[in-house]
Amino acid sequence: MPKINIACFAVLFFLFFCYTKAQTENKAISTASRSTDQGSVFFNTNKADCIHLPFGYQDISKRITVDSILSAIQDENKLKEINALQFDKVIKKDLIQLPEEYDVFLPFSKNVNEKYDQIKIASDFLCYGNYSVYFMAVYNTVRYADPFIEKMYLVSTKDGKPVDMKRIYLNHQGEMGFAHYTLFNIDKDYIISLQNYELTENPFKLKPSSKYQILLSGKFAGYYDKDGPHKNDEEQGMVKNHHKEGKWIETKPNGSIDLQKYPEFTDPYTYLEAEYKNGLPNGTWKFYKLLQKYNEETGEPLFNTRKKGQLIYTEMYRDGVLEKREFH
Amino acid sequence: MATRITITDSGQTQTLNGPLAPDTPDDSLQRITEVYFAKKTTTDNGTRVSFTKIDSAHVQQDHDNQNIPYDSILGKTVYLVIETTNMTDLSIDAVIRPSAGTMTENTDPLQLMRFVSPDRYEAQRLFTVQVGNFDALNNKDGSHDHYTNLRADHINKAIIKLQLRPDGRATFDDWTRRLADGSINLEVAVERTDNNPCAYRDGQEEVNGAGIFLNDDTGRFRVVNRNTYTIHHGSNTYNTLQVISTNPERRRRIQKVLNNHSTEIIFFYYDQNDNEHRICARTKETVTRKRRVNTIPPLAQRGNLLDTIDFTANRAAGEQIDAHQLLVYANGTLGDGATDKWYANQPGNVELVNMDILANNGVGPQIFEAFNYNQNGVIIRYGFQHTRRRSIQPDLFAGFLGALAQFRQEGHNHYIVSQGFSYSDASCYPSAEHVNGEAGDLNLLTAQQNGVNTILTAANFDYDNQVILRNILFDFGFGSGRSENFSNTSNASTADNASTRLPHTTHTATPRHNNHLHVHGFTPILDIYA
Repeated sequence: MPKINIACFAVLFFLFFCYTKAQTENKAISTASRSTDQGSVFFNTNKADCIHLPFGYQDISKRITVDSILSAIQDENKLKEINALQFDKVIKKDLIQLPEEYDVFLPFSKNVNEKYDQIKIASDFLCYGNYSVYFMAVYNTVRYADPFIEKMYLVSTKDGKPVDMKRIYLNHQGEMGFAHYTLFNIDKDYIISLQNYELTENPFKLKPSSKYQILLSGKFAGYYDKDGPHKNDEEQGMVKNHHKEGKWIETKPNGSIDLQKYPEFTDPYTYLEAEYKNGLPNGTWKFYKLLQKYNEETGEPLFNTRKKGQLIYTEMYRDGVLEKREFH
Repeated sequence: MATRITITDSGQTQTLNGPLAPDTPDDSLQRITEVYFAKKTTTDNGTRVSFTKIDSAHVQQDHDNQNIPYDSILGKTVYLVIETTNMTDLSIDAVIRPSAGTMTENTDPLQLMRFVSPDRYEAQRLFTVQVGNFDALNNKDGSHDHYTNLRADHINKAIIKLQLRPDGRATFDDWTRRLADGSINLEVAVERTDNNPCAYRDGQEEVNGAGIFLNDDTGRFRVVNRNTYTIHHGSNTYNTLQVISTNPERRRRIQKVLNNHSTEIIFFYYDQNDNEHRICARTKETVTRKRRVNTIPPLAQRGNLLDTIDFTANRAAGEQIDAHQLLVYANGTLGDGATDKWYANQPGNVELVNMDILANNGVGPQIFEAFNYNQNGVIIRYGFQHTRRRSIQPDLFAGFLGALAQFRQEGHNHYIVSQGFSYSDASCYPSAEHVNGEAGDLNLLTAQQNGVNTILTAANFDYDNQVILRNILFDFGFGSGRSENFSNTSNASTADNASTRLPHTTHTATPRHNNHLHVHGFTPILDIYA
């Protein structure tokens, strides 16, 4: 039986490959539809392979020192658990061309070079109502003799069609030891907790963790423990039913800002006037330049100096789907 | 002396003692047969010594086997060898003088630094030396007994060890300024100290006065301006540099001769038997010092954009370089990456050399071999991977070369691969510590010895040899290092089964140091005039 599966997979893979080659002139919008059309080819639908929750690094909230974080990152048993998901299906990058959040570090679309970064889908997956959520790993094949998982994503699908993706794991080993990590936990209620760590020459500072939930639409949305007004160093707005609702102000580094196109900017931070409906982007988002000064000693932004600058671009959303982006 | 007999009756001439006799010098004369500059060469594990002539008739070659158009360098240590017959134990006076006034504005004998004892060179203009005296071959302990062939092979030689420099920096600078890019021929005049006559070369009779050598085109001693580094193997007993600690004794291993009128640097390595190896030549570039600052200045304050170094092709080809590009402005360098960094110009300059000697073209994730020296038992091989930061201060480069040479000579065959030092403009995106060519990262050693990187906890991590390499790097000047505490029960070594850390390193996990050895804190190398 496995041999037949492999043979079917190979044929279908070839067909998909031919199809994608023929479509290379298409832009992002058509890519998404192509993924939708062909996605089912690669996703295991055998419910026997659904994983049991919780899964991941259950104690990340307790790990607050560098040593304890390193201990988790280097935990061989945990890596074995992850590898036991069976990342055995190599896929092309085009299959998963889905939008990511604007503030994501090393975005999939820009940063994954499939010639050197092997992309694989795991057989084991997460069953969530009508949705199947798959683990996708990006392997770094050039740093050491043996490849290792550098990034891991959750890809939610419905009827074999990719709906949304979220990076849940990162083991980025940059030059001179500058490392960025993300550890995750998926609890029994399907709440996904993410914790980012930055180990650079700056003094270690634990960042706030973030949580996400898979919505009925199959999309990932920020999850907040408490309803009501929410405010931290990066965002403020109202939380309703554990999700962002209404107008929010967000001040974060924006991966869409190419400083070379804006040489007058000295950082990629934006001041975002966003709007959410049931946790998903909605309406018009306005991205302004965030003007701020820095602590000369630490390089950290001085929050009391922050103010809204010029309008850079706007985005139009409908039910979480980006319909238009316009630069000013 | 050959005997010539003329038979007058027949008009025949008959020469006795064989057909070559008329041209054979009278071997009963006291004679100075040859005078030449030389470098010392040893064989049989350092127990037999000989002298290799260095002059225009005995051209030396560089590491690429290309002829070198000069014979020595101002400031360099050389041997002056006077070969004699029938003069054992006699004293000879020698002077060394330039053949033109280019360097000193006259052709008077030069005052040069002569080796007189293991810890002292003395300025002399007239070098008096005894034939058959081997004190010039004394090591740091004042002994030359380890050479077993002195009496057999060198009893008729007078040997002077000297440095081609005056005793003061100011005079040296005058010489080098006048010499500039030119070359000066040095010739040697010798005469018996007792002023009695002797024969010179193949002369047929003993004559009064001095004999002049190296003064014609049959052999000239050509000297030029260069910066030099002399690097000693740790077991070299001729290293008489400063003792920096005792029990066990540790000495500085490297000395330099700064030449303010040359940008070329020649790196010489003296192995465990004091054989000289000319490793390589590099051109030093003077660049503005950099310091990473936390705030990026507005465009108007950066000055003119002077250069853009783009790594798009490198990154697309799988090189894991964090910088997308470097924008070199008049006031500093902007490292453009996931998080931009500004490297502000600082007061003063720093001198850097490009370590990438082979300069292999191409891009990609593979190891780029940068140097592969393999001559006369000395092997220095290193490469770079995932970095274009290949510039380093000359002092550190000398230490790096020495460490790699000794590591290999001790029987360790690992391919040394660096993850980089500084960019050529002295910046080092994204780090702050690697600026100005003063720090570098090396791939960890593996059991496969092929240079491919690993991590401290991997089964192929070669801890034992990594410790050896780190200690050697320390001995050659890399005083500080960064690594991480770790334990490894999966590799072949048992010494790292319990928690440990590489020697001469501090535990540093921010940033991570589990996949490279970081070295910095290099002890500056002293100039010969220091």
